[in-house]
Amino acid sequence: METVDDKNSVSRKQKKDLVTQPEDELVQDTKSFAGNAFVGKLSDFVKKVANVNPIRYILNWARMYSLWPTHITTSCCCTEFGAASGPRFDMERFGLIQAVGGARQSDLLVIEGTISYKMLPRLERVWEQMPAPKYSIAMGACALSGGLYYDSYNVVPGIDKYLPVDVYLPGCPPRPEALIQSVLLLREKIGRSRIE
Amino acid sequence: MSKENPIKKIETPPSIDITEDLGGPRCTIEDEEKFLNRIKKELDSKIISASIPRLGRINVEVAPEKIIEVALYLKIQALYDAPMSVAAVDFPEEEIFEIIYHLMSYSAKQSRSSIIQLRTKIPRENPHSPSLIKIWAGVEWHERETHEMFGIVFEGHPDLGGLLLPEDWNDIPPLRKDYILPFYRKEKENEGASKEEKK
Repeated sequence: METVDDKNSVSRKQKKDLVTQPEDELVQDTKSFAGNAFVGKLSDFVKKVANVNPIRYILNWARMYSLWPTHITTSCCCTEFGAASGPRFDMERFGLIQAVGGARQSDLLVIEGTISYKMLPRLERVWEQMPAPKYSIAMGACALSGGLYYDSYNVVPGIDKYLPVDVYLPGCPPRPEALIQSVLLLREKIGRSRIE
Repeated sequence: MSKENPIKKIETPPSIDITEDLGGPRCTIEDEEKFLNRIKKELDSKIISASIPRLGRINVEVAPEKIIEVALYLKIQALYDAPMSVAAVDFPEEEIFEIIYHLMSYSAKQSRSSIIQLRTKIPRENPHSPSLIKIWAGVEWHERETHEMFGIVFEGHPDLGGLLLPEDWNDIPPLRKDYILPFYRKEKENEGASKEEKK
């Protein structure tokens, strides 16, 4: 048993190193990017420039005001999503465009409803198809924790083990207002985020 | 298949609506009893029992060897042309599976409110039952699902592949009574251990 513990501790340390090192480098780089601007790769340089505050603000502003959603619908939350993009609640006021594009043209994944283990590889595939600045909202109790089916043999108890989730939206199903609030939260997050 | 292939009879269906003489758009209990008596008379040797548990339901129990003949009779003579569902019930103490076909009719002259439950009992170990896919094509996915959830093999079914469970499922079929949900497995193991300790 001891050996296993040792191995675990070592791997944790290594992981810590892996996590901490690049952050430190980034901090240093951003401080003195002007000096070595033309030495590094062009993409690094672009990143550094994009993270300068006014430029970062403009880019984030552009992103957060036109979120193109794609939605994986496996259960009843889709009715609320549909209602939210209808004229009564009108999500477009808040910068969430109606779900008209495919996964390759969108940057927001709304996961609505129960994800079964058979559905999970398909969901991951959709997530991997989406281009890089991408965000996800887990909508409804089933997507958060399995919901009613938390002890089922075929339902994923919470998709955050498999996908990065930006906003958790509880409810069974959540009201369209709640969906709008989650989009506002996501926009806040995008506005504060670094550009990578 | 044996020499006497009952499925071949489908090619020349006599299609006599035996519900025609009952009259009226909806069944009363008297109508259903008339219908039941007729079924009993004509299928005398083939069915084990037939009864009316309540209005709108007719229970027909058959042996698995006779199920194709009875199903043919119900489709061609009684015009029961729509299979609504295929269900299975697990009785671990009696060591049987009961397969239930729920049948409904669209084309009978009297638009029937009654649903036939065609039941058959098969042993729990190595469960085999003849598939009814050549009589009702709509039964395909239902039988596939029943195969997946209970492990019952329907002989003559073209494709009993996976339908709802993940492709890499390696466990006993999940709707059997002796399947323990993974969520409760540790609990059950602990319970078993504690019981043994008490003994």
